[in-house]
Amino acid sequence: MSTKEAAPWESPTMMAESSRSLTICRAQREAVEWEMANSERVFMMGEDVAGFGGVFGTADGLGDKFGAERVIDMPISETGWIGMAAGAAMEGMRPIIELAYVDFIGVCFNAIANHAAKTYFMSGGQYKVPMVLISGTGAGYNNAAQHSQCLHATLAHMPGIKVVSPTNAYDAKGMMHSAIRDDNFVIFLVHKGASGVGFMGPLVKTSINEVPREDYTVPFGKVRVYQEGTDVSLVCVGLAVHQALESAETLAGMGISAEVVDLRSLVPLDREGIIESVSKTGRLVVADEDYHSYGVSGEVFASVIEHDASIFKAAPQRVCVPDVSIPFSRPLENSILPLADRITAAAIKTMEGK
Amino acid sequence: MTIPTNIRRSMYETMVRSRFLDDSLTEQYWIGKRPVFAFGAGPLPGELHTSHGQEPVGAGVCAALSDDDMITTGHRPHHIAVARNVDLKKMAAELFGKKAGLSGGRGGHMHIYDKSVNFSSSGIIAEGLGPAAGMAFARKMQKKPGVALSFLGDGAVNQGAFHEVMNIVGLQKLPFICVIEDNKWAVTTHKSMSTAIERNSDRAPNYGMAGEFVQGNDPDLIYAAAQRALERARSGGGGTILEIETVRLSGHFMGDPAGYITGKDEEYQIDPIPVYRSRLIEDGVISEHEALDIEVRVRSEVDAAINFALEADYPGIEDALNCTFA
Amino acid sequence: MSEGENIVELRVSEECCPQDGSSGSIVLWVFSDGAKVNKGDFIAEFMLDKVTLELEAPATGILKIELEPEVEARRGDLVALIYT
Repeated sequence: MSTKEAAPWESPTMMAESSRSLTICRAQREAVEWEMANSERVFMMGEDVAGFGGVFGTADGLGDKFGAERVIDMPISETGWIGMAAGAAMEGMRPIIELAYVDFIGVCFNAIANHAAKTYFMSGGQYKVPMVLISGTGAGYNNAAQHSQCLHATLAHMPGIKVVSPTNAYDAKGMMHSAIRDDNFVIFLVHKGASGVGFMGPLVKTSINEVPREDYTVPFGKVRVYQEGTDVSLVCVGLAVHQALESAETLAGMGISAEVVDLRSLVPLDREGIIESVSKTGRLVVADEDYHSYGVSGEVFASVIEHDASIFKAAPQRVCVPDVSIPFSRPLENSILPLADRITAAAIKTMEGK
Repeated sequence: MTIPTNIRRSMYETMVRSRFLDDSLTEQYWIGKRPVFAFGAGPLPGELHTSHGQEPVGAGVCAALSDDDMITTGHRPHHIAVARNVDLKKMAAELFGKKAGLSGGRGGHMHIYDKSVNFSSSGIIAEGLGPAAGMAFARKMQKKPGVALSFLGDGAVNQGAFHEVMNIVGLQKLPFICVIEDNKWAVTTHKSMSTAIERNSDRAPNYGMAGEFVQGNDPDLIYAAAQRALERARSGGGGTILEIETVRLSGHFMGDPAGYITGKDEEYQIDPIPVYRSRLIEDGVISEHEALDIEVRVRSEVDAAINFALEADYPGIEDALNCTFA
Repeated sequence: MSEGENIVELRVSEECCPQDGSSGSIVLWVFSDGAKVNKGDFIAEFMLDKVTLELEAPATGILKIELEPEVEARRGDLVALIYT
């Protein structure tokens, strides 16, 4: 038997249906398309979604497929149409609405946090609001203070909203199916740099993975452990997950075994999953591209401490954007992002003991 | 009204300055962004919304302003900044993220501020309206002169803030002008698909304001209309919604091929600068030779500004942390 | 090569690089080397300036990747082979 490398036509995959690797953007769109095709009640609404497909490709091709009555363009009137979408949801529709940049929640925060989030509670359960809000987060492309925020914490802080942020294509499709089928208001955040729209720069390789053709769900409220480790837990959300994977490789080269944990679901938050990891390693670094204070990092610390502060072998560290507006100039922006080198330095610090 | 020839000449020069700046910025923008486009790549990163085609609005309105007047504008600020005499070198440096920039590199292209000429721009749609009204309000309280102008686009007027602020301006008869740059497009959405009526200037009486619509993307007509609105504001006559028809020639942002502009909409896309140049020559305001002189002189001004920006230093990383609080 | 076997080429088309001298690159391969693809399947993303184009398999067969992601490519360059 020849030992030469098998020619492609001799590959064992020849007979099977080949697996596909997709970007987050394409994977989440597959879920939206499936749900829209399978229920008349599901519709999309946003700015530049019908013809253009959304600034970040969230609705690419869907306007052509489903028509202007189900993929609906709205004027720049977010308070107006987000309120409308919530009302439609109260009357049995299942809207998927899109806010291109999460920074824009500023103009319509009441519709989101005081109305859509609280209606189920205030009505004693009479009115459900089965609505999904898709939004793009994140910095790293020199678009400055008002187009680069994450605001994970701001949204997760408000009761009545489920908040998820998948970081790979498989999770994106499964969580989008879950989001649309959920009878609650779900905010679906994707870091613009990880979504896989080419104009944001080279694709993040660790965000691209195999996506099944059929529909499936990924449950909320469970962390994803990208890789197991024994010395330090790198607990992350959003693009910081991928920076942590880079950091883990560097740490491995130093003989430090890092466990990379993707929260992917902020509300509900998998506190058990976090505690399980930190119980194993005793060391915690939280990496989050949102602001340092009053955020996800503090919440992760508190979750472990409330359970049992003695499991820490060293003081936990957090790698976040400092409490400043995101600057435009490249060296300034790079200095404040939770990039791999900062995560590595924080992990090393935990290895140095208390 | 007859517009003095020196003003007409000056408006042409302003439009050329804005255009040459935008052309040079476009050239710089694409460096490093091929073959794979990435916003953050190259010497001029981020989003860039150039003002190709909208130069008459900046030139016409700003030619009528006094030093006391105050401007807020949005994400497409270049033509207004240039017309307002924002320091060209410092503005270019800001766009390249350099320490010598207007905000030390912290703001970038959507966030151009030059307090010395009462100019500020920021990136969230329609957010400049309230602040401009507030500036007018302050001058009233201080019993100082000055009219506030807020520039925004045809899409932006559908923000709640527009209706709220216009009502307050009308209620308090503030010295305020809302300048709507009607280029017919909000990213890929045509005005007819976003706005229930044809002209926002028709809404003005509902807010207790005066309204005027200026057709043709013509700096002379724009200047005259701006004069009327300013006179009204200065004499205590209150606010104006000044809606100016213009054209957006280079897509929503750099990299937008604007394939959605077709047919009749495409015919509307006429470059106003050669049109005005020909008219001034025909009217004997400038000769062909003088026009070329202006162009050569402005070209070297713009080149100097770009070179200044390219050669300037980046800020030190401490500048990310030291400007949150006064 | 066995009897009846055909190799179909996929090259950078005019649609991908309409202007002379313009160049783009693959940004995503949906399938990996040796995968079976069907004619018309979306198999890769090609970026030119800010626009993403979808490349389709020109035939049903086994994919052999000839152009890696982020490598600059011009009109006519070989992208992939399909062994039918």
